[in-house]
Amino acid sequence: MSDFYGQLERQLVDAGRRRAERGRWRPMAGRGRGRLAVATAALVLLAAVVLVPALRSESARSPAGSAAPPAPPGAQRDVSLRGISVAIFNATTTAGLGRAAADVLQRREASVRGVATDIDQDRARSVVEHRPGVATQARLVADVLGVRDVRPLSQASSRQAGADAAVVVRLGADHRTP
Amino acid sequence: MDPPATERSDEELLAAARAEPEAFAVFYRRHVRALSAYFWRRTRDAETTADLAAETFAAALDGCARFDPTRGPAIGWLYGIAHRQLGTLARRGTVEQRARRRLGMVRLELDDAALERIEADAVREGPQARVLEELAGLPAEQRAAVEARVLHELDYAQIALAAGASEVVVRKRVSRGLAALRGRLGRDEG
Repeated sequence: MSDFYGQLERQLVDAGRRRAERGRWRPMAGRGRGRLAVATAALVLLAAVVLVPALRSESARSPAGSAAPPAPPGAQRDVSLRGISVAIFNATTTAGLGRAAADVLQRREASVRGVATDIDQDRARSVVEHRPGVATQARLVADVLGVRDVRPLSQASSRQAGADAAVVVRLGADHRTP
Repeated sequence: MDPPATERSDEELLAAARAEPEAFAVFYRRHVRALSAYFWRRTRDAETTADLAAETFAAALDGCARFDPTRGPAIGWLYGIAHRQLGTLARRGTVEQRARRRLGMVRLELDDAALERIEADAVREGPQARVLEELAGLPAEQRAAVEARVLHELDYAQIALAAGASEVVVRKRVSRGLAALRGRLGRDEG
């Protein structure tokens, strides 16, 4: 057997097929579960000792999913979004919201691949979703629009957005055009 | 419609691998030679290199459901697995086979021609493999800054905003990251 790489690839594909047919994937190894339990306990302790007093002094303002410090809408006026492809969905019944956001992004050189009305038109909070590997670009878009919730793209969102957009913006009722 | 597998990012390929074995095959073809070069440089043995590469990709396939793109790029995750395989080899003196067994993969027996080819590929892939490997080994903030600047070609203002840091800090991270890469890459050549 002289084609090691080809043979190994065939083995992996066959193994992947068997797993896909059985639907048996390992979400977390045993040792990982133990580590997760310890890490969770440590985080709870940390929250109790350090974070809770700090949060008490602050109004609840940052929803889960955001990794970057929030910026007020329009605060980063000089930041270029060149090379970032974005799809925008208006998830409200307010007409023109998506187009206005598209104008804001295009003024910063973002490549807006589409503006559409979302299936869900009753979204309260805006969210910026992104394909794997482009979280940095997504946070830039979020900062320009003043969106605090940044998260990986779900499979459903990915299908809806199509292949062109790396970043997807869903505008909710909380959105104010910068 | 999703893009063709060859145009997807590593992270997208891993996310799709559970349902599409071909997606993992693309990820494999993209990295197997560089990863083999990484192993060969450390072991100087083609048979051990092949064994380590097989077990690493088996472990990656077996654990692809656990890959979390928000914690870092797929390449860093893959080399993390590779690093652990080397650790097991150092401790036990033998290459782990657990992931291959779980997946029902037999150990491949290699003839002289296959071993020579692995060695030749490793020599040819050396420089690229080293850059990826050393990049994955940088501290997280430096790695993210270098990737954003060099691979994604973002400007410093963009990176600074996304990182929640000043441009001065980001420039330092990129500068230090590149200096560390240069130092590490030049270390074995002197």
